[in-house]
Amino acid sequence: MSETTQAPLTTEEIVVNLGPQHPSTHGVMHFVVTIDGETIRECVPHIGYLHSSLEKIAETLRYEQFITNTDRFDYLNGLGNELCYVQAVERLLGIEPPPRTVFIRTLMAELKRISSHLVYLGCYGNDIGAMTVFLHAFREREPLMDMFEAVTGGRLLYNYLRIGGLRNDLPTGFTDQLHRFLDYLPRRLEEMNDLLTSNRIFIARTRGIGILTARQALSFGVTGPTLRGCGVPYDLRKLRPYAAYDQVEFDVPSFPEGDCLARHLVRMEEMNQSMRIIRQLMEKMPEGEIQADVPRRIKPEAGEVYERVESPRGELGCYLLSDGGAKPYRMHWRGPSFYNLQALPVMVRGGLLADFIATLGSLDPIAPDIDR
Amino acid sequence: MASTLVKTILDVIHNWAEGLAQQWGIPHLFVSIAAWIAAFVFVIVLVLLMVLLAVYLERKVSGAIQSRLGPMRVGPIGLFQTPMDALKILTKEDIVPRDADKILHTAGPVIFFVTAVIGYVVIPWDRAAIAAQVVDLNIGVLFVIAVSSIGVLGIMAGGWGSNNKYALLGAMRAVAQMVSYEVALLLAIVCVVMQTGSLSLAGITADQGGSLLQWNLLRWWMWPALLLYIIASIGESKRIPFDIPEAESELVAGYHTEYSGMKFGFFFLGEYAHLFIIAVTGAILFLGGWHSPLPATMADPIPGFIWLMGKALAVILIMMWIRWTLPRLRVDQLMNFAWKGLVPLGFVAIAVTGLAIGLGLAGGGG
Amino acid sequence: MTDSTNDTGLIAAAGQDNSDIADNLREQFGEQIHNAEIEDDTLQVEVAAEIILVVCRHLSTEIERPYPYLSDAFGVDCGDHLQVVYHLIRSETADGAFVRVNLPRNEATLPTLTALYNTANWAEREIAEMFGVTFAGHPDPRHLLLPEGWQGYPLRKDYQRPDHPYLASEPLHEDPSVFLASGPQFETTEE
Repeated sequence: MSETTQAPLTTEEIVVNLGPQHPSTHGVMHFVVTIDGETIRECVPHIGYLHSSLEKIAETLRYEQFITNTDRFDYLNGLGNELCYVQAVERLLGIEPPPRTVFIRTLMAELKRISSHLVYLGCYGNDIGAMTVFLHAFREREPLMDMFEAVTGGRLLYNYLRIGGLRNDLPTGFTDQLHRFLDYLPRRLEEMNDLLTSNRIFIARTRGIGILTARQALSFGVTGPTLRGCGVPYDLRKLRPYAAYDQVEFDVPSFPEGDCLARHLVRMEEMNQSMRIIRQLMEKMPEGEIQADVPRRIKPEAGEVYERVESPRGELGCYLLSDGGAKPYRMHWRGPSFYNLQALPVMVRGGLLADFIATLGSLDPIAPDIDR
Repeated sequence: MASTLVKTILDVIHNWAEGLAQQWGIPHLFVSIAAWIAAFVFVIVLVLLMVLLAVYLERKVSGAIQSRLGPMRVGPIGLFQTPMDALKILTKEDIVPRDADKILHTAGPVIFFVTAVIGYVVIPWDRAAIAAQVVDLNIGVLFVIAVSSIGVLGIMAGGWGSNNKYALLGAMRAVAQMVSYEVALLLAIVCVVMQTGSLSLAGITADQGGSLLQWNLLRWWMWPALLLYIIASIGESKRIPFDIPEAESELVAGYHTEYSGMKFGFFFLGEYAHLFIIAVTGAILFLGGWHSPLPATMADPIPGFIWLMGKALAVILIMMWIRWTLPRLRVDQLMNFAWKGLVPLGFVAIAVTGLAIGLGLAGGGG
Repeated sequence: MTDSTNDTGLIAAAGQDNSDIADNLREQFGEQIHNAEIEDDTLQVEVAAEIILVVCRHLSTEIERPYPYLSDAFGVDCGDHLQVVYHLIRSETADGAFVRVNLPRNEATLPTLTALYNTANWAEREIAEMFGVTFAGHPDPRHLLLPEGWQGYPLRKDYQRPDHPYLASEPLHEDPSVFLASGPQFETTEE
């Protein structure tokens, strides 16, 4: 936007601020993008707008009190976050939760994964310009939300897991609800694939866009579907099975291209795999108690633990350090989006502005997961 | 019959006005001027009504495609939602950015809207006998395209004058896109002109009279041109999959990012006015204009302008269907598509039409 | 749940390798390795600040079954000293190694690991602003999550919330890039 007077006709790079308020920044993020025409020369992410200092807050709350706060990290994966935190506390305490609890937790984490991927799908459609996909994906997500509501009472923030157990067992009628959903979703996913994934324009917009090599991805600490989209079948559910994942069969989809399309395909296939896991879990679901014996006052002995689970966005890590008190001495949260986003400048450099949006959307970042 | 009824009403009004003028001793010139103004007001009102209808349809159609209801609250089945939004937009504050170029910032929406509306003066809404065309230019179709392409100036003025990077990017994209797609659009029109031998919209309509089989839609050698026209007109009206000038997820709102109140309203209305004129032109070029699809022997209770509107709405519905189904192209893909896909297709279309004329199938300019 | 349930053959084999690594480390670096042991299948190393770069390079590239990637890094305020923890991983088996460095509270300085791992960039920036650890040679030592000019290190145990104003009074940014977006407020897609 220079005021050229008598100077000869020149071009110059301009700096565009994408965010903090922008239709497709997936929350409050800010990217300072230097563009030459439409080609991106440089991209600098500015994060921290949603920093809520939950790590410090954790130090002021008792172990059991913090569970509700974990929902707030990656709000599309509330139950997965709770699972990670609760497992960390249980390892500190040396508690083994009852098998039924473990199964229900796994079930919930997988339902949450489907729900999160559906949100991704809708938002990605929106980013690419296919507005209808957004509403359809959210419609498919609705029965899931109803199920979460039936089980936990909440639709977004659950506070459902307990140390050594769950707040309540699955409600009556849940099995029917779930089976109806499992019958319904594959057809809908097929429809989504017809509408979006197999669309020529969609493929032209995503194939070869935002390429990340496997080495780059690993070096940036990128995990989850983004890493699996680079051909690295890194999935903690498989490599270090936690909860009930060692008792179910599933595949880890991975595509070697490392572009937006590969990441998209990984997520689409992961929904199918999640449904497969859920079916097996429902089949093998043991009866019994849902609450282990837990001391009345939760005071782990001094020690530390680093628990890792696979969230829909990647490797979720929870570090807990106990000094023997009722509150964590230090809690650290490894948000997968934090490290995934760090790779963004490498992926978008040299692309067009529209590719930036496509690439950012394909990382599926969640702002509170980045800023914590 | 209704069309004769309309004609009678128009005649009565005209006679009444003439009589009144003579009675009051007003010169005939003033009556003519008044008639011109009335005609223009008629066009504007028509355009605004059509725009309101198109906006309402857009909301309902997108709702149907996205399995929701669309507007339902204001009025029966949400009919008054769009008029209320238009009223609301009039009451909104007009914000001009501090560093904006105030003249250009104001000129942008005005140019855009006016150029979108002017094209309507040459549209033959009904048979010539009832004077349903404001002027019958002998280069009518060229006039429509020429005038609506001046709209690009309004977009550039608005985008540049806003002093906003999104707006500038959007405006530059819009200019590049509209200029490119106009080429393709014109190539499609050339085929129709070759077929009918007339640049006048009334003449093109007349050529398709008689029966349904005379419509350009049903002449196989016009199909490449038809395909080209549909694609290029979507590109020309900047709708998905060609909506990169205002790609919401990239450029917030593109060239009208910095507009509010009625200035934004002008861009918004102008866009739909533009859409509608492209649809009406398409209906005239390929769907027989105001001609009824019913056989000539059957009595036709529906006036011609309703037929034309209906055909234009059908074209618009197709464009909406496409818009709410497809993703958006990228800027370079869009330009590639225009120059490497549509322009060659245009030449093929011209060749096919020429061949048909040479074989004596087509009219070949009477 | 716990690692005892995951004792697949693969990870058990990895565990044996890891014990070699611990012994080798102690042999190679001697006194400067304060602690090196295997817990479950995870390598726990505590090293002196001077050799962190060397040890990490050793673990990442030079040993037979290396830990080539940094997964996570964070700080801990241990009261009398600060600790920075690096979590190195293998991508094939996902088993990890924790490398710890203890630092004095007053002069907490560490060499940056950004040359070895891209991951370290943001992780170190976060530790720097939250714990007051200086990473010498860091290519981009701006604040990451907190605004520029924030006073104090919030995740230290002795952090006192400053009285108003929270920030230093000098102009916030000279960098023109931090002007806010000029677009209007649109509904974001998710919130």
